[in-house]
Amino acid sequence: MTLQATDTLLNISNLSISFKSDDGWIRAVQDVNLQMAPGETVGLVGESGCGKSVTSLAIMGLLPRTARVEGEISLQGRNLTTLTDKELRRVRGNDVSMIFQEPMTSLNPILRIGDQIAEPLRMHAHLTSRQMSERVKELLAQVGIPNPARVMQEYPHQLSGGMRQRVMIAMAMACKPKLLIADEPTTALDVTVQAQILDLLRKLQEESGMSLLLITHDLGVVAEMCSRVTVMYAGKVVEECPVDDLYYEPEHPYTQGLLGSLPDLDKRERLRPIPGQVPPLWAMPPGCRFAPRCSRAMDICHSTEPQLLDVEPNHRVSCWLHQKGGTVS
Amino acid sequence: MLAYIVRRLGGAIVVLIGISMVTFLITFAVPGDPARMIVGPHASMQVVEQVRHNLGLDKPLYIQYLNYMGRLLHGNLGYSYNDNLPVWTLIRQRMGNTAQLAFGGWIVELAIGIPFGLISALRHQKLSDYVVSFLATFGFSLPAFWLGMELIYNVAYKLHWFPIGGTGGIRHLVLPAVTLGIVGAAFYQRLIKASMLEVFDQDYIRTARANGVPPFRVTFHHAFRNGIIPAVTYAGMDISLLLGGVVLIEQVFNYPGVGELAYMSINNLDVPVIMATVLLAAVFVVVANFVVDILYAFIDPRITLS
Repeated sequence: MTLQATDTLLNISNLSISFKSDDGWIRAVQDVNLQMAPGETVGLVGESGCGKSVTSLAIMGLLPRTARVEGEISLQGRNLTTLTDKELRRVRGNDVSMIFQEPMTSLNPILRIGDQIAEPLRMHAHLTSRQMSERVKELLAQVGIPNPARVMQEYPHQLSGGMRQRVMIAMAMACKPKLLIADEPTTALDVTVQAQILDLLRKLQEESGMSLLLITHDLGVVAEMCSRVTVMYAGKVVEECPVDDLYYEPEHPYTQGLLGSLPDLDKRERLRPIPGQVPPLWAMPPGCRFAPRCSRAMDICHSTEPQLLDVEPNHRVSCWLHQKGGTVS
Repeated sequence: MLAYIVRRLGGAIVVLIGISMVTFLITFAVPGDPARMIVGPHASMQVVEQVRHNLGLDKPLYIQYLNYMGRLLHGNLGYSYNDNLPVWTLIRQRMGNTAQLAFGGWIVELAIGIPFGLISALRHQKLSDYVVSFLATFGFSLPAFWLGMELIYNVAYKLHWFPIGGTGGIRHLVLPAVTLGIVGAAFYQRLIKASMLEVFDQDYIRTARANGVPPFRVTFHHAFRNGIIPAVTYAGMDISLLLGGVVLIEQVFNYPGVGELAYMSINNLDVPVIMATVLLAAVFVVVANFVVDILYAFIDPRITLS
């Protein structure tokens, strides 16, 4: 499934992100490509520090000024990386919105819930204050918060974590975005609440037809929500495939390792964690970045970076095991 | 809420009793004899003894203290040894002046400290941050008495912009309040800078930006009230610093306030006046801190008074 330009909502091509440090530029994300169709749910998976959150902040234009963004991020054909601050503000919270990992700290402690949900409306929609308050009530009801009129008047500390994440979602949905980025939306929540929030996201997505970019390290969440997955490791995409392939035919040893680290109730085996650690950004190995931890690494893996290439339609892997020059096992 | 007020009141009474004891002890620990001060160096020993007896200064210290506190409970602050007027009369005339001066100084502190702190935070590690931080620290380093005298000489005496000293309206207040405030402004500048920088790093600021909120509104609607909370706490303590500063400033500007009275009473070992001015200051600080705690609950909804 190669996406046509017309049915691409989001197109990230050759995105690299670097941060300035005392020792020069450090590259946190390199040559990331990602396409999303309208209404699609794509998972962006990887361990913490692999660059998935940085990528999402780049889409929002929320990286600190010290970050350097190369490549292109297009939303409906419009390159977001070249927009002025003012133009970008018109996109944020309007066409693209985002919810974050920490519902406990993502809401302003001294502003009322209603006031906070109304903020994107205030920025992007021209409503009277009565219309605004009606819309806020409607949004709160939509995200399953009982008694919206009362909750509007409350402060974040009066709500539980799950409720706060619902409030964050209501805020993100306020201007009916085309794309919602959810950065680890359930990581900080209780397991029972996690499922509710995922259900809610799915329901809202069906109702609104928006696309959902789900950033997570939780492969269970991916299986439940996504149609396609992009796996990142140390700032690069290592595998990209439909979600079924990820579970049944993972090709990259890192993806296989991630799956192997999942507990499986049927088998009751010991977990097989991936040995070693993610290399630090300032000391990336010259070849494949996963090679030092890879049980199947060959000589070439340590010297030359593999390309991200199709192994079958819609399934791309960046691994010498699947490329000329490496021995296919 | 009521329980909270009662508890605070109880605490305040304990604090005030403690302060009264310490002050009382200190006035007797310093060398000098109030009776001798009253009658002068040439009076005979007999006269001194007589005065000492009349004032009850020959009784044991704890009896003197209890007598004093007993009278205090009846609203009697005693008579000044020095000019035989009721202490309350002396203080009443001057209390308003000092309150005006301390309040004026506080306003100057905030008027300089808050904008400077905001500039420093918004332009962190840029030229304007350095300039503003330097100015604030420079102001803090100036000795208040020297700054006061410079202002009197240049601004009041040479330029005639403001009166040289005394009281009589807002124009008389400007120079002493500025002198008092410039010194304290650096604290607010640093406090606001540090807390605003911290607030700008918070997740909810990122949320605001993710909603497309422009920088001005992020700063003032989303960040400022959070950033000001430490400054409110500090304001409570600052009251005591201001009262300390007032003693000096009132001297320099010949400003008839309680600070000047306290200064004179210490020179004269005028124990009832010393006691009254110190206790008044203590009451003021206790009340100010109480007001700050209530203000706190208004600014930050997470805080409930209980």
